[in-house]
Amino acid sequence: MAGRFDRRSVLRGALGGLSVGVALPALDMFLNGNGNAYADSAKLPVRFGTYFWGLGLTPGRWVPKKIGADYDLPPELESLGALKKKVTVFSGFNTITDGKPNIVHWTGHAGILTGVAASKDKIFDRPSFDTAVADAIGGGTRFRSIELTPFGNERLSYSTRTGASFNTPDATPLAVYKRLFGEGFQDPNSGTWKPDPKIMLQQSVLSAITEQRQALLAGAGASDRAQLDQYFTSVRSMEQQLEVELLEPARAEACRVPKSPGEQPKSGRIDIVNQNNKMMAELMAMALACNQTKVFNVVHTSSTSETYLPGDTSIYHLHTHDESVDPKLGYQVISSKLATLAFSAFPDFLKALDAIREGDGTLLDNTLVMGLSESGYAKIHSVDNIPMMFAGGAGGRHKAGQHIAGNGDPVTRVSLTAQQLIGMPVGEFGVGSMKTSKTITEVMA
Amino acid sequence: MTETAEAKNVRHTNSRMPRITAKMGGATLFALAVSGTMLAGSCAAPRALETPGLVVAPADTIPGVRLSGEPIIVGVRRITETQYRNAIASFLGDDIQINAKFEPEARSDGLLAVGASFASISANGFQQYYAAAESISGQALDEKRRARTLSCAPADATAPDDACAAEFVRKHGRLLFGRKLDDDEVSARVAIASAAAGKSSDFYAGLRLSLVNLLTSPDFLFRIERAQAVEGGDGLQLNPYSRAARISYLLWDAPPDEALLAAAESGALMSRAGLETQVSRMTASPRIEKGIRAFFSDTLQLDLFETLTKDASQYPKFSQAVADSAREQTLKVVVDHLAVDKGDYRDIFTTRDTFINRPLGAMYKVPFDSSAEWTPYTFDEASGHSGVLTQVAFLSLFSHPGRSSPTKRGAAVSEIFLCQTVPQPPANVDLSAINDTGKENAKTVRQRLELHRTEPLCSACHTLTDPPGLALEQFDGVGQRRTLENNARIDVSVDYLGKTVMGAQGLGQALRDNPRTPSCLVERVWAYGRGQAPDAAGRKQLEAITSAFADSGYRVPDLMAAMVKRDDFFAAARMVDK
Amino acid sequence: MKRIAMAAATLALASVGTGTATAEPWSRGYVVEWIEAAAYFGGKGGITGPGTDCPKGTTEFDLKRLLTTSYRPAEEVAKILNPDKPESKGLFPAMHMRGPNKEDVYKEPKSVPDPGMREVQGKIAYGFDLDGNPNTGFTSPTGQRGIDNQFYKAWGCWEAFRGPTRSPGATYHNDEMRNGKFTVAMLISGNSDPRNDEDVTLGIFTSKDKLVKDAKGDIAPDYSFRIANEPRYTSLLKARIVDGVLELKEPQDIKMREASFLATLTLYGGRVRIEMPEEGPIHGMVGGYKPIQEAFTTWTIAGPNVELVTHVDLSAAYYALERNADARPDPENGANTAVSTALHFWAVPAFVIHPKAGEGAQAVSAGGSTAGGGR
Repeated sequence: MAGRFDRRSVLRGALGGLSVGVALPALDMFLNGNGNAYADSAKLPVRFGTYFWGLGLTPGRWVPKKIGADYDLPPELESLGALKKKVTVFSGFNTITDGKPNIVHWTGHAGILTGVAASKDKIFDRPSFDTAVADAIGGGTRFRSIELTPFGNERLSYSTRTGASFNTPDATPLAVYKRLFGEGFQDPNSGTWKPDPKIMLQQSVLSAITEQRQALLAGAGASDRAQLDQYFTSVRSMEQQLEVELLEPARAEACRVPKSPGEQPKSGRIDIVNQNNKMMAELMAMALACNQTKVFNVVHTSSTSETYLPGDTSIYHLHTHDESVDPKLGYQVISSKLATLAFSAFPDFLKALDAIREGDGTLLDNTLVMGLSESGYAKIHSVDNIPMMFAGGAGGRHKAGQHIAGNGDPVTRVSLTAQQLIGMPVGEFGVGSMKTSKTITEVMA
Repeated sequence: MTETAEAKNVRHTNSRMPRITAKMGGATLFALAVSGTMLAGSCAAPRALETPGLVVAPADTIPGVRLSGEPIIVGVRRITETQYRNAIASFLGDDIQINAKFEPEARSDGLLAVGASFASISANGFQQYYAAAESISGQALDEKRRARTLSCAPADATAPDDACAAEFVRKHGRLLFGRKLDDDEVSARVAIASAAAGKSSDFYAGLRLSLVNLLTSPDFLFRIERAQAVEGGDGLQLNPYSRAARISYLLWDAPPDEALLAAAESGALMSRAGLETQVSRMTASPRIEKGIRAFFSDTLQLDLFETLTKDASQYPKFSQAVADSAREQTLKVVVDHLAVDKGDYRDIFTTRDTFINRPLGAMYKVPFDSSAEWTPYTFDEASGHSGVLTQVAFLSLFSHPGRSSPTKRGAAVSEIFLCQTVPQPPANVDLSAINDTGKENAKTVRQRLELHRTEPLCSACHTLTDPPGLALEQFDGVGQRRTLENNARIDVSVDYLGKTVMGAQGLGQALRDNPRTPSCLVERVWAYGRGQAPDAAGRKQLEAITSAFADSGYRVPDLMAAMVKRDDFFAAARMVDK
Repeated sequence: MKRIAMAAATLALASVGTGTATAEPWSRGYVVEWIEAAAYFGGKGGITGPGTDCPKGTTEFDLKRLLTTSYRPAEEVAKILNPDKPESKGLFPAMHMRGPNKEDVYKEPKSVPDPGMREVQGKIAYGFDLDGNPNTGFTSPTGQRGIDNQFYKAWGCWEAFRGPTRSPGATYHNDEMRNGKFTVAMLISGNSDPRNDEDVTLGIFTSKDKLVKDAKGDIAPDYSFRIANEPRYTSLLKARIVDGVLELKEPQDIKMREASFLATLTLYGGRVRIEMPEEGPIHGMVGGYKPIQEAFTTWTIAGPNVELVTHVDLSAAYYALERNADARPDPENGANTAVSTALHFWAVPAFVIHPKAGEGAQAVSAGGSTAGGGR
């Protein structure tokens, strides 16, 4: 494995994730022109995605009783249905704050995505690990990664290279469509490919920008440098896209160019969010099948989810805090209903991937989707027992269909394992008590 | 500017402010000024670069700030949407359509302007800026506008013309970047134009690409602030160009215009008199309205409208047209009162003067009797209205999709108008026991919140946040007046800051009379201008400004003018890490 | 900032919604959000099927028969209607020229013999007892006898009118209204108490200000509508309110904007009944004798389309109307020229604003200059 990676990325992995240099090593690597190195050099798995939904699930209503394979489906997981064979459920993993205050609805997923509890609200202390995955496997496609949210809010993203500046998502099915299949899209199966002469002119515009990078960064302090560096990485992303567009696309067996979904209603109402989720899932699945990207990050609803039931005057987030635990049933009834509905969007998303045949299996079999939320019990902001899942076969590496009990281990074990399933040469992940090198070997095929 | 005028400036610069010729952007000011003479070349119709209203400071009588040493980057702030639009409108023409989706902005310390100091540009965002740049360049150089955009004409429109391209790049680069470009920067863009013009046999096609490059460069998309050491002092001061930008973005929400740039180039801006001249000119301009509009749009968090949703079944009347109108109403009232009427800032909490359009008439249930789009309107006293507090904008932004929220409103009052920090709710508290809606004494939001406040963990914050919000409860989640909730009368008397306050009007008066209200505004304007919230020591420094603000009758344009005349407004910390 | 004194307006507003007797001049404004002919629907399933009103369902429609004339044999009709070689250009002129001498049947409906039309057979109808005789006409759904609605008798089985309230047939014109083509505003004003007032004026107007839809697609209340100076669509009617029900003091001629192809609605000896809750939207009925020529012309304006879409033979419709006309006999031949009818309307609270002086102000005697209904 390691041979396929250059020294710096190994070093970065060895230092526990992303503590070193933010996006710098990856950027340099791409500037050296071997952006396709990962993608072409081996039959690497493949595609990676994160799928976040807000406010967790209800204690007692989602953790399967059975540990190991062929687990049972408690009420809030019922929507997984037959897909459970392709999904591993992690329970009992915690974000450990190491004495930092629990920043409500923020600390939990910060821990999972960056390996360390956040110090400030709205900002992560470190980049999210999906950006490192994107740098590693996202070459050779038009988009290094795609961010999207069916919630309609263009600020809803937890994918970040700097910790402060989050990757802007597409927030409507139409926006997703336009980005993926609008201008610049080349049907890999059309057989009528011609390079667009405009591309080389655009390249000249961009290369004149990237040439300024060193000079500009030289005079800047760390924080300013991070901002500028992210900008140059984005410029570089577009250059990569243009490079790909200049090459005749390889045929993609499963690729069928979808139709525009048109304008769709935008609302926080759960049924509308879930409907948009389904449409975005189909577009995303086709984007993967058509080799437009290999990495995606979905935020279904924010960590302070403002989604609501039709006709309700209160939002989900408020219900989780205000609603009493039903003394007979032992749980919050409305909150559980919303949790069930919100979570059902995840299997909906997976179904779209699973519907596409690829080789002997499905697109989902060649993908690893990490499902996650931010709290284990939203009512009291608990960051213990945060629901997390792996879905998809990761190209045969993921031994799916299990329930793994974490027994209070840090969530970073799951994040580390995800990176390793994708083939990242990462030996450890996380900071402080969250630092771990313990892979969850049970799920490694 | 003409060659002669420029040469004069150079002399001034050279004799009075020799230190300012230090390296900037890779070249010296001195060299840049001289390089203006390189333009002549083969341009068919070279026009004089105009410098209207340029006044060179009588620097021999009034000392200014003298800088020395290498300029270093002390701040990187992403340009905002309105700044971008204002820049394009003033440099390339306000008839240029900008149909683009801008990167969402993030708030820090209460301000997007502070958040911009952390913001960068994502891959998605860059593509949007790129597409906007292509569209803008296409328009600026189309047949109908190219004569206006260019100050020269190519010898042959079907071939490259490096001299004319250089003049174009130099002129627009200087305006868009807010500083002169050095020769390398110019020639890199000329090369783009030249290659493309050759390939396409179209001089303007080449220029379009060089303009796309300028519009997507970090120097345009970010305000890169550079500082130098103060001669004979300690600490850093923004260099003239960055000083000009900071003034211009605060007063006009736009990059420096020609006159201000010229004052930066000549060094006049670093002198007391030169600075006074520019500030007087700029505060007298109607463009100050844009500056005030931008500041209040930020501090009142009106950007939240972009993600605001209301439940149609609860609030069917709240349409997109209403949302757009509400945002505009708040800005119209603030700009009219503060910039046009030069009124007392504190009155924005109490005034019943407002503007309405037809949708807002329906929301407020008042007649709209005008054939114009907007009309002034004065609520009567019985309406319960009190300034910005009872506008649809504030009331709907700080509510839930399906109901009002005294806590959100109260926190907004505390944070926005009094600069108080409302802490996050504690992580480990069970709220449901005290939020049982089934209880007889928990019918109204107020009753439930009162129960909530009996919980010691909660009371500390909620006694701070809830009273102002509860005073506003006679307005529902989209700002419609109501007196009943679940058939119970809504009690809007609250104890707030040691006094009994009755309803929105009582709250408005309390905020107006609170000395923290104007001092908070001073802090916010300061942070907005500098892209950084003041620390405790900084706040102490602001006391003098606050007292001058009071002396001026709390006039906001005067406050802004006073700030940009202070050296410490342009001071930078030697520690550049934020 | 220049200010306009709005004291009168806001005072009027403040007085609304308390729900108590004020013994002061008051006014309430409304804007019509739906209006349609009041046609009692006796069907159970779809609007074309049989029912107590129309035992055989809606009117029959046979395009072939309709096109066949003395000079246009069946073969030519077949050619016009041949789906493989559509000569649609020929269809519309052919539908116009149906008379034996190529008369335009929409202008001269009686140029062809009466093709016959299914009329309402039921006993129940909406409307008013216009002639004061309980023994003529229908019975209302609530049991009132003597309801005169011969318009309904004539045309109630025509698809354009049949169906439950807010009928599909009325949708086209109401949609046009709701989308802003025209606006009908009402201003109700009195002198003592909105629940019981002997001295009430009902003003019916048009406005150039468009209706506005809310986030659910319904017409939003509380918008402002400035009264347009259009006397032909304007009525000022003397009324009284008893226990929240407004009725005219005596029959009065009514002119208003109609939701139809022809904009004018004329009702001789008109009546109005409006149920007025203390707040919120109102429902009412307006009725009277409508000139049959007006009733007919409103459909012939779009003759061929009307016939094809609503499955009617307009000459048959004309004969039916003439047959059922029950008022205003022609002094020369004694034939009735008007037909009893009624319309339902629904309206939401609105600010109805009089034109400013000097801008074509009308002699409108309504109370305050503006009115806000609703809460």
